[in-house]
Amino acid sequence: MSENKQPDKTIAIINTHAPFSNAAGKEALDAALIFGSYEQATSLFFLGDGVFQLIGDQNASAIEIKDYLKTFSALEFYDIENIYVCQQSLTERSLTAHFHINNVQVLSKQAFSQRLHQHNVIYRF
Amino acid sequence: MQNTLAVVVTTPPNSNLTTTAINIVRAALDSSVSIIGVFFYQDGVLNAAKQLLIPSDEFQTLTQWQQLNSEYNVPLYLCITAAEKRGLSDELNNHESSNIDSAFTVSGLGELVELTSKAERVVQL
Amino acid sequence: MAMLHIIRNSGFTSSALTQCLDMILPQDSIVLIDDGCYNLNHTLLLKTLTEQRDITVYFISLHADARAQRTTNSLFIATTLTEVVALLFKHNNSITWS
Repeated sequence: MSENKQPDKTIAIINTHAPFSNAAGKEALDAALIFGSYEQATSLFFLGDGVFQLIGDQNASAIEIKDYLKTFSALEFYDIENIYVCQQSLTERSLTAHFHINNVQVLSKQAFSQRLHQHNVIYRF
Repeated sequence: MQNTLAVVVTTPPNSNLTTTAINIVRAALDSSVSIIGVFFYQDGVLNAAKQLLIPSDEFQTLTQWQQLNSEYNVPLYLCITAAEKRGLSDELNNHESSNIDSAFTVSGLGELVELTSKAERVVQL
Repeated sequence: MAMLHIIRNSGFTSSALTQCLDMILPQDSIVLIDDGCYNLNHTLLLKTLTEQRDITVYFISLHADARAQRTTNSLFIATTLTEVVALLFKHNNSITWS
């Protein structure tokens, strides 16, 4: 790393798309894992239709999609431990906090937004 | 000290959103902001397609990127994984057979990590 | 930390505007660029601005003019892409809604 590197930069990756009909979710996850592997402090946020990426009992292979959702369970090995979901987005979609990974924190809209604001760089997918 | 900016481009060359991205890069250069790199991700990688034919009376996106690279030394980094998924390849690795324009540096998400950590500000377009 | 919200879509077809307004905090700024300029008369945006006076909203006049979008509302500030670059450095971070 160069000497220009600024210390302690925090990265937020926010998902706003459902998982299967476009590549955004997969490309967001690819980016998150790379940031994690370079030991960057990275958090994942799920807002709007992005919450559909986390719900349990999905079967991507039934529609010919390589199930990248399974890769979410690798996040902890990359020290990505801050995974936030917006409660309002769940409520709007009649979803409960039933996710296919552990370690998900459901936050009120206000708390979610405040947490997002605390990051230096935000990538939205 | 000069302000530094990294730009992430996610929109394809035939979109007016990309014209805006180019104009923001130009505006930054005019304001003496140092563009430490433009990273092409998602559909943004299509900007590197050298065989793209846009009618001569329309906005020439590729010519603009080439000019920013050659005249202002703006580094253009291409995420090769995202590019290969969209039909771009540097596999034969010579200018004749590659369909990637030579103004673009073939790279990966690791470059995005570098740019993110080095730049004072990052903007995703 | 004050955030710059860059909106590039019309709130009439995309959730970008509503998501932005859900996430916005006092002291943040919004800049409407590209199709984001179609939100100049969006009731949801106008309502938020009347309720939360601390939020500043800019729009790229070039992009609005090109789309025949006008506003007489003094809550909106006409600006340029050059000024957007300056805004990026005046805010702690930015998010692009598109």
